Amino acid sequence: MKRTLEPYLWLLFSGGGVLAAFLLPVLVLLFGVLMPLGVVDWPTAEHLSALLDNVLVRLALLVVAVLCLFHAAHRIRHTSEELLGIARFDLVVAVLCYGGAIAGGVITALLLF
Amino acid sequence: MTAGGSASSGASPGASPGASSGASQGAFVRTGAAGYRPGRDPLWFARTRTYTLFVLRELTSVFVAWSVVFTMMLVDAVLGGTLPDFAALAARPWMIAINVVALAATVFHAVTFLNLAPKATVVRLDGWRVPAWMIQGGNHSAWAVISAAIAYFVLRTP
Repeated sequence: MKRTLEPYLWLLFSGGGVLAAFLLPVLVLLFGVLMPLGVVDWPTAEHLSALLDNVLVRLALLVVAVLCLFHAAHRIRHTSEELLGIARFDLVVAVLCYGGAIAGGVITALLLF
Repeated sequence: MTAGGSASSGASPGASPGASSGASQGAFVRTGAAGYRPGRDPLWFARTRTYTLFVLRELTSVFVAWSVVFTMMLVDAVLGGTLPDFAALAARPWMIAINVVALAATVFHAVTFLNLAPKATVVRLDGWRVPAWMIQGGNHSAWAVISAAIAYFVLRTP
């Protein structure tokens, strides 16, 4: 049987899907909606940077970011191919999508460490 | 349907016997899979509710990616000491609009993805299959607990 990358990509997809489901809605709700609308006060920069001082928090953020980006890349790859009928160019689409996820992961790592 | 199956269906004028190959059969009326190719329906996702929901669910991934980018912009602002600038950007109406959509999309993603779990994994305890609603209930409870914990750590005042 031919060995392919696909099972690992699906693994990253579902891992990222679970993390995105558990973590992203509350983050967007707090920082993207409630705080900008003034419903909840912004925490002080010192408080947030104290949270980020913890290396475990930063590691967790990196893992979450990388897996969520791979999740998104995988879905965007398949959806764009079905929606736009560009499955012929799967290799190019895949390289663009996963390449974007890898680039995002690298930027996140540089940002956090 | 086999390719070249029509080679025996008659001698066309000028066709030399024995020289028939797939490429020389353009003059024959072809039937079956090779002859009929329906055009692609560019609006297939708008035809039924199921397809539309499927595509909407898939498109949540765009906002999953956006939420990660937004969070990393926040992290960058906190580490770089520019949190007030970030707060001002986040308070712009168009930014709030994007994030309201992102919130709806990530919640839709969470509900559909967590509901999918029992289809992907069958849990058996002593041969007893844990019913789907229990796995889904557990997932949604975990979601609530994790969200509350994050909100607590972000919002608590020391």
